Amino acid sequence: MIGQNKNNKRILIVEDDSSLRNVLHDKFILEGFDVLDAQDGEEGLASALSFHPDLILLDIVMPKMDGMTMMKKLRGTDEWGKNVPVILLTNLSADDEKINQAIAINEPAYYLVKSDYTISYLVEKIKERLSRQG
Amino acid sequence: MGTTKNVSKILRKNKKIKKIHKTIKNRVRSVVKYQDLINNLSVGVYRNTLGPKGHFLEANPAIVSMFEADSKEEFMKHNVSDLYEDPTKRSLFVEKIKKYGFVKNEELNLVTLKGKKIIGSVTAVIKMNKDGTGYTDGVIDDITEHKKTEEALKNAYNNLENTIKKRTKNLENAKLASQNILEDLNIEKLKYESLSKDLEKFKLALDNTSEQVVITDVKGVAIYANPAVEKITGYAPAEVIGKKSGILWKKPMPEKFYQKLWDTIKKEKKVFIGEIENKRKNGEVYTAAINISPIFNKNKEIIYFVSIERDITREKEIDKAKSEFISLASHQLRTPLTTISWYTEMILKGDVGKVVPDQKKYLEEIYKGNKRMIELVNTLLSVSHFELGTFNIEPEPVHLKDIAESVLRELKPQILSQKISIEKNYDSSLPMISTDPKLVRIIFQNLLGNAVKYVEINGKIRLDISIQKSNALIKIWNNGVGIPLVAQPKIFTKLFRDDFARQKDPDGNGLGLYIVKSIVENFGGKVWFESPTETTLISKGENIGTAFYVTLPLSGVKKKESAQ
Repeated sequence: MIGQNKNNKRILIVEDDSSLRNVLHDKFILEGFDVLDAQDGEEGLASALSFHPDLILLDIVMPKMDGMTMMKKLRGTDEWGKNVPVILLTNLSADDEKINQAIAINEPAYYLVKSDYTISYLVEKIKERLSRQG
Repeated sequence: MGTTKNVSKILRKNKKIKKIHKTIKNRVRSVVKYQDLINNLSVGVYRNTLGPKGHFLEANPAIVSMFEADSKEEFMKHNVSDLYEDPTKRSLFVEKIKKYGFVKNEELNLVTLKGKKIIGSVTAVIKMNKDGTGYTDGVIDDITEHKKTEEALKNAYNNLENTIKKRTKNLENAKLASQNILEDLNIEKLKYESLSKDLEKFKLALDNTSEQVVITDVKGVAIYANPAVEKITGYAPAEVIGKKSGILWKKPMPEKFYQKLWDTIKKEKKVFIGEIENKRKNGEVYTAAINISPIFNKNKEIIYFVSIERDITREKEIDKAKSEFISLASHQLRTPLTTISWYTEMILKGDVGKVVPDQKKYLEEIYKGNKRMIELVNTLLSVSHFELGTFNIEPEPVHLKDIAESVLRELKPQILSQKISIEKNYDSSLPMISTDPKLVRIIFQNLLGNAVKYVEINGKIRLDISIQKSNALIKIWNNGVGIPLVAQPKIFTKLFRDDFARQKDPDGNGLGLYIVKSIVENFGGKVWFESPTETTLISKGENIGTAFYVTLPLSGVKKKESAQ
């Protein structure tokens, strides 16, 4: 269900694990956000470009197109693509080369190891990010 | 007619007288001749009587001057016995000559009229008269000088004899010594033979071991290489010997490594143990565990290096595969762990309906259990990162005390609930150190966390950060029960948990100290602990509890990119 309430901020969740995707979806709805879902990088990119969400939650390890590739492409599209806030959700540790790459080639981005943070914290982070965006 | 007869008688008497005259003349001539002869002789000639004193009946000029008399008359005034050094000896002489009728070369100690001692050699005969009286006729030779010469010769001879005796003794000693040397040599020979047999055994062992053994001189030139060298490196021993070991291996390691190697074995004269990457003859790179020992002579000078290498490429590969597997599995585990975590969280928050208190309790247990699993996964990943070298070190200037304080704040809930008192001593002169704060944080989290965990209620903890030589020294002490002796050797090993630890914190995973050790050693520091037994004390006089020490070089650490 894609709500088009202009007062709500829209979040795009790009995550291949359905359990996680669903709980995130439910939580964000409860918090009053509009929520879009995608299950791989390909879908995610298409969704992002079509619906211009206010923020993208991006998993890294996904089939078809992984998160890094999607972000690279996204940043290379247009002005909007360059600047949309992205929060990377991943299982990979902070030291992993992939993450470093991501942080290097992509500002602004946050990076969170899923298992280390509560879903409440995630919501806080998103709200914080969105308020900064103004 | 009477006159002619008388004249003939007279003429015949004249002839007789002339004949007698002639005879007398001849006799006198003869006597004079003999007298001359005797007077000219240089040997003394004499005649004397046989009494115990005796007196001279005749004496020739030679005997007179021999006895330093001014004249023959003066000489003949003296008794024969006067001329003896020991006058009593005269009777012995008379006895002897009476017995044998003669003496020959009889040596007598005599003395001249002027008191000079001389030695005379006397040859005399005895002439006895019918009436019992008699005299001796003899010759006497002054053999004083001759005697002196004889004496000197005797002495010389004696000296010579002594010298010969000495020399002979020396020779004998030398002979004994060389016999001893020969014996010693024999013993040495036996020793060497037995040593050589042992060496044979060693050589056999070296020839057959799969570990590479290379012996080099003090400059690093190989003088021996065992057959395993060929199996491992592809170079035959003959190719290795005579070359500087290291040139062959093409030195794929960074220069600093070889520098440290030489410093350890040559300057510090210690054994070098490490891992080295070498190139085989066919260009293949392999990893070896290497052990190089300097060998010393009696004067503590290095005469050889013995290097033993074991090809551990396969072990390394297995290790790497294992770490990669752990890494992969751990990453995969995070997804279901996150799922449980977030769903439980939402239920507990009441986001999907009301939760009865008992349900809440159970859900909280599920949440806690899940959290432990997440922590374990994180730890496993840290460990595998270290083992694979896939971690980064990103240094920045930090104050160690800032990180310590931050960790203490994290631990505040436990500190307060346990009523633990914390004493802190920070050396204000400790500068900032260029190091990776997140890794330093792990060190403090583990050590301070352990200190808090393993102390009783009202326990004490002390944290000291100071400078020691070129390092920062961190000391964390608590007054808990300490670490039992039997557990001490295993403290830093993976997955080791001693019984007390298990009791105090059943959730611990036994990896914390292993990680601390890995980080600290990677930074070039040391970590150790003191936990007193009956016989030791912690430095500074505490006799209970445990103190952990960490040194970190003030020079900091270098940036490290992940090895992948």
